[in-house]
Amino acid sequence: MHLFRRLGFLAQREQLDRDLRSEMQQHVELLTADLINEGTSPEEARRIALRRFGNQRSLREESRDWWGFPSVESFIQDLRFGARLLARSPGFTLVAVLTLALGIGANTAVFSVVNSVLLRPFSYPHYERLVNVWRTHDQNWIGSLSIPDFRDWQQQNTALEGIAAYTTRRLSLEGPAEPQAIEAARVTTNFFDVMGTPPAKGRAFLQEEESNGRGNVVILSHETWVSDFGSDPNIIGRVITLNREPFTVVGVAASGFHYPHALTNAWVPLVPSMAEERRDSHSFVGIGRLKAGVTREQATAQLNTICTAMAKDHPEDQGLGSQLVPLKTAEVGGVEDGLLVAFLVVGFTFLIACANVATFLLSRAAARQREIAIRLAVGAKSSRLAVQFFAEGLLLAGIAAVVALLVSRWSVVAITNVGHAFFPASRPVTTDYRAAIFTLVLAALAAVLVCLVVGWSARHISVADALKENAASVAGSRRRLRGQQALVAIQLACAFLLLVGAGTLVESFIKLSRVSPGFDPHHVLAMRVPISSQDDSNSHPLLLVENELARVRALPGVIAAGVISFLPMQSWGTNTTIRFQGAQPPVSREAPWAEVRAVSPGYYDALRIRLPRGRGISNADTASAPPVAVVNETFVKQYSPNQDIIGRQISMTDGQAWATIVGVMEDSLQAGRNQPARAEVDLPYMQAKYAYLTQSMTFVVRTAGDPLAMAKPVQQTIRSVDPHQAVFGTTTVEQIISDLEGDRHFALWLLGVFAGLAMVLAAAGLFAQLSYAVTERTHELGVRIALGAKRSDLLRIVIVQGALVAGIGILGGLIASVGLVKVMRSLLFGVNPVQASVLISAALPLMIVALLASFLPARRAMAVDPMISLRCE
Amino acid sequence: MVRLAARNEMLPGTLDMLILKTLTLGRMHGYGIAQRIQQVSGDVLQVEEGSLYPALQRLLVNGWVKAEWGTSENNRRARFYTLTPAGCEQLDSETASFNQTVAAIFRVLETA
Repeated sequence: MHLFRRLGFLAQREQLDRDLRSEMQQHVELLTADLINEGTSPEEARRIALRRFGNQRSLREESRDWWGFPSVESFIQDLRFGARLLARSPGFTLVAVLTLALGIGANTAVFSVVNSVLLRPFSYPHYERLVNVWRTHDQNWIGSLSIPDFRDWQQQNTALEGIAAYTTRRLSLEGPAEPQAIEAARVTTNFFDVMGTPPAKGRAFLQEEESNGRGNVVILSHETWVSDFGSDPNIIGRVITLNREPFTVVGVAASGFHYPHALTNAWVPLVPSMAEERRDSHSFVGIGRLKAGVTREQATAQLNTICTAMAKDHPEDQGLGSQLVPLKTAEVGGVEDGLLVAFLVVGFTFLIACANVATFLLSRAAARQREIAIRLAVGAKSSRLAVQFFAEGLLLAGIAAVVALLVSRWSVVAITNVGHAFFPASRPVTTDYRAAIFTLVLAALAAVLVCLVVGWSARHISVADALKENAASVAGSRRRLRGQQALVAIQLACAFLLLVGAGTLVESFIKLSRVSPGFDPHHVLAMRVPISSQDDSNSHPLLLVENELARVRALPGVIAAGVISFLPMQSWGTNTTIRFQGAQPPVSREAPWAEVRAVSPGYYDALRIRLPRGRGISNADTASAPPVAVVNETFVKQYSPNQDIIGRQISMTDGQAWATIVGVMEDSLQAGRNQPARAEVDLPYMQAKYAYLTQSMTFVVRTAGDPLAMAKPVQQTIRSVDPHQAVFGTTTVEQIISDLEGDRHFALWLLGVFAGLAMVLAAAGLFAQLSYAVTERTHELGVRIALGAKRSDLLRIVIVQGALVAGIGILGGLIASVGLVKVMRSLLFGVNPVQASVLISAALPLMIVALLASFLPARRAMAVDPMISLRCE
Repeated sequence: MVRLAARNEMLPGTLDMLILKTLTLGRMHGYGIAQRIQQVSGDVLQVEEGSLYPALQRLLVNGWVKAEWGTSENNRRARFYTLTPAGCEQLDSETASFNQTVAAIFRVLETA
């Protein structure tokens, strides 16, 4: 059938109906006239004509069916009817809508996150061909590239359209206001080609800008151009000051382009320093673009072949391999587990909400039994009645979906506030049309679920029984009660699951918080400063920092202060191979390695890191003093278990100088409390010469009071020494840890909130079910009393019933919880999946709440007056 | 007399075909169509009013006929139906299949 023509008819059906009516009128008149002409009397003629025509109204209806969608129209009727019913009991409607809105809205919020973080495509053209390129070492660990390795890969591979290298750093941008530390990336000049996103204004970098002396050019992000340079139309060619050096702006990136980080706002050419030209100086990340049709496996295989050849030529490249990680995985791979848990949590909440509303609707269906029976008796088809139930459910769910969408703006904000440390910043969370579609589909699903349940238990309505005066059809009511009990048990089971999830997380959290990070994170301010290192200058880049530290220590309220190149839990993975003096130079692949840090005097005091042996870094360890180092306990355990470490000499990757180990510090957990400590070497910051160790420093300041209150004075003190010094990342060490454990916070918060809600909903469901059951059984209870049952017996009957339902629900939840905890394992730390203590602490409150919910209906049962209930008969 | 109903058990769709055929003579109102069919069939076929109007709506919706208001021979307002080109095609194909069916029935009647 031609749908459009039909829709056209539908649109003008009022007109068509009028036409048809007058046309039929005409027909009757013509017929009458003809009959009169044939000699019939006028009255008789009209009577015959009308009779020939039959029931005009039903005839019109039959005709109308042809130009409309009868099923749609009757469904609209059902919706209207449903709306009237719902409007008649606003209390019920409100509760049902809110319950469903909660169940649907939670899903909308989580879906918005999943959609924004995982599903929405990246803005780079053919981003699916972009891969992060990493170096592997004997297949067992992954690290960054060195410039010579990168160049070999770049020149020899044919699988990639292009490969660029980058490393991030902070640059202090000086302007009219205070200097600010903007996040920047040093990139090889082909970077914008590989990303497939040329600058919107100006140009990309030129090949020759990669060489010394030509590299003082910068490309700004669109956002920085707008906010810091007032969208200056003459920005191209303007000279700005970055890290105290003049840079010429040659381009402005496309709006929204911020790779590699959400906050990257400037790009400068990667001009490798002398140290960075070393083959074993690994501090760059590769980003490559696969040629169309080349798979990641093929490209990896080719790079690995190149690696094998490289290993022959260069001793540093022993065991070298490559690993290509799709850009998407690199950006969002870490959040999938957390989001899966989130989806489970809100999924269960959805089920509970549906079951809850179904319970309510069942009670109402019982009240409407007579109405339904009458309609069946006068010929309504039961399929039509089912559609009507569906319309009612759809109406409820539809309103709930609208409510959910309306509040999604806030619920999404709430969820991102909690998850901010967990979601990648490059993927801002917003609600879009997909979330809206998802919400509506979910609403339809809710309607179907609710109606299936209600329809299933209403399918046995017997017209005869229902119409009998006061015939509480025992069989029917028992079936309905059992259906309700099953629903309530499902709700309790889901609530139990969520409680178990929350409990397990809490337990894991407590365990984790008992793990000492190896330092005392309380009352410590952390503040980062980018350091402008001039490779050619003779003075040490940290001389100013030394001055700043001295003044910060003198501030009232400061107990201790120091700086470190990479604060534990803030960044890690900066490591180097180690050589002990006297030992044979080891083959590269077996060389000991350790995390390496530049540390100032006062750092150990500021974090209260204990030094079980030897001494820490002192003021005497100046640039001209004999080189020293402090190692951690893991270092000792791994590399010098049988020999006194104090006094041994080591050298680092490019070690011309031997440093004497003068102290052993307790392990700081560099990578987080759920990760083992790594071997670490701390060098006095004045003796640290490598650029990667001095390009950014973190001040750690132990304060007597609130650390954040000291942020301003500390910053002012730093500026008083060096007015050009930019400062960024001001926070507390406690916050740094909590951000690192962000995924757990997120899951805990979600599970906590929703487990609580689930418990309340399930209790409300149980309460409603028992109240209904008591009403339904008033007669029976009255008879029992009349026959001599004690009132306490009635109380017991109802409470036992409630407890039974709760028990069954909890048992079901218990079985399912085994599966849930398996899913959550990645978020758990040191928790044996099924913990009796957790199960008990989930079951107990649920049982208590269930009993409380049974108590009120039980009291009502106790108060049944046998005379009244029997007289009703 | 055979009463022609919409749900003709013997030959479904016959009424539609007859209406379309009648309209090949020119535009006509509902009553006229019914009269015409009755006349031409020599009073053998009588169109049930109860079937005529639903059938006309069906033809309208399918785009086989058009309807417009006009003035009848005795100066009354009446709704006139006209055949559309699509209706002509439909008539041809319905006539063809009808003839086929009838021929087949005849063959059976003659041989069996």
